Amino acid sequence: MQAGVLVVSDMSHDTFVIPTLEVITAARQIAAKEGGTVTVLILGHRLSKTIQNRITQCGADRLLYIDDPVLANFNMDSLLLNVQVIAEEMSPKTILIPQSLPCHEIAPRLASRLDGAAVTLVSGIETDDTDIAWRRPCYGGKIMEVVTFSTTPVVATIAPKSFEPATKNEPRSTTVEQRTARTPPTASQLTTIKRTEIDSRFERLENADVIVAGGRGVGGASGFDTLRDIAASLGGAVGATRVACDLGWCAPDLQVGLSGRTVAPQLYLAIGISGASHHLAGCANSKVIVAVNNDPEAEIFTVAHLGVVADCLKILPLLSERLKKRTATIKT
Amino acid sequence: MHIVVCIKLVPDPDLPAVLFEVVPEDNSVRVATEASPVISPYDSQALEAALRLRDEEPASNDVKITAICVGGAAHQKTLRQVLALGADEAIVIHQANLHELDAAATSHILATAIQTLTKVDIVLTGRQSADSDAGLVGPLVGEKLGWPIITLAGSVKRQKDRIYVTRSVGMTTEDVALIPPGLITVSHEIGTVRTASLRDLMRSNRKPIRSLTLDDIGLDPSAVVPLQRVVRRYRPTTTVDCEFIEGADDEEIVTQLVKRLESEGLI
Repeated sequence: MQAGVLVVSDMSHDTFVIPTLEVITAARQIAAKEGGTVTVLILGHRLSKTIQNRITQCGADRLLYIDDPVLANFNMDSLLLNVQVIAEEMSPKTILIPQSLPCHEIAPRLASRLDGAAVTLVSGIETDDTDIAWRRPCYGGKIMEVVTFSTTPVVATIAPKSFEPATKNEPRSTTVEQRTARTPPTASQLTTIKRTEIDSRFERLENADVIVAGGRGVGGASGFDTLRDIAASLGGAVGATRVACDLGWCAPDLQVGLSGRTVAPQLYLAIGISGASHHLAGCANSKVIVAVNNDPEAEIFTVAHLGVVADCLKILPLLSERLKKRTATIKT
Repeated sequence: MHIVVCIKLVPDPDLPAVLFEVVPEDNSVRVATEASPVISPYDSQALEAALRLRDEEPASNDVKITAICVGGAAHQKTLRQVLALGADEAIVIHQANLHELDAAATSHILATAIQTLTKVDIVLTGRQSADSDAGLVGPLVGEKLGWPIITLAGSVKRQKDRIYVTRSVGMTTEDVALIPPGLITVSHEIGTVRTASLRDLMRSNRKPIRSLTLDDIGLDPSAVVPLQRVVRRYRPTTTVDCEFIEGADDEEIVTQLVKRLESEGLI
């Protein structure tokens, strides 16, 4: 087993650039402790050249890319096989992957194939002691844990917004190599019948400066209409709690939290959200959290910077109207 | 069709965070409550998915559902609940020092146990447990069995010898077809799960709960080695002091709020 870190990512969509740069920062932290190089492996179909250039300027010692139709649409069998081939060739001690949903299962499956260990939702890395220690939330974010592993490689998925994205100020001579894709044997047992793209809300939610999020307290789907109006006035995006998604008040892909998206906007407006820890785990890194809730004892007020104790159903239309007028005034 | 559902018991995730404490001696988590542990919510939904697969073809009556968990005597009561909901049999594999088991050890035990059962077609697990939140055990069991794996299932249906799964993965919804065997992890899109009546509960007394040891499934206890060591656990501290905006009525509160957001340059 060699020292060194392998970063694995998909670059077929530009929403994966920032998470990958964040993971490169994590990789550099490990390489600084253990020595060895940082290799970035990019897999996908129709990879963007500009994106590749950006990676080479941001802290990678070596860039490998595999661009092939078999890697389109997060085909898990193809991804696993191709990452496995590179990992076996390099035998790195650590493999880091951005924790984006399509890659959810790649960590345990790869670890199993490489006889290593897997760790997910990593939000911090500790390098003070002999072993690399991984920090992650558990118990729905109510508890944090720091864990080490007695085997290598460790395959870790890194939670978004946990590290600063790597920047250009570290010039390195990056070697770039293109590799040919391996095609896995066709698995006749499992076939994909249909794929439907929901839309690009994914991108907007993670990149939004302002997120207007609603929970059970917004009262129903019509409450989410008002949230959308507010978000439109503020140039932001709409988020939701798991309960609101499960009740069908909004699209399931708007869910913020441990089993949804991790966001860190400048302003997180939490309306009618009680503050269950699995939700807070997805938004606690927001710069400013403003909470509106009728229960002064609600958990959300333990993380909010500004709070309003009031009936959301009354505040929502008033706030929406006020902001619409304000937007109209600014425009004129 | 034989469906195995993997069940984990966890402290009720809806209990308030203040009740969760770390025991300094061994870094285990203790929950200050009289309430019994519950079935991890995603695992409940995995069981629900299994029950729906059976409901689809009540006439054929060829679906057998086995619930399996790694645990101890404390799990008997909850497994009775699982049987009341409709599982045909339950298996508990006894293992001491549960809190030291990591995903690698747990999946090793589960996969070995599943291999000892008569012809299993589908294994269902929750997408992640409510205590570790890791999402590792399902895929690890699937890899160890060498089966196709489908994660994040939002609906699971059956048509003849095929299983049809819809999964939501970030920006996309995917419909996939599986010829068993296979492992499926279930997500919250499955929706509301059924509850058991008192009558169901009494009836379930006739159904068997099998207690097995590692020896019974042919596993040498020394082969069950956790790879993960917990260095420490702690409660995240929140140091934010919430400032409350007040006003005579809702109108004034909204005015104050908007003013404040403007002055802070947030909008």
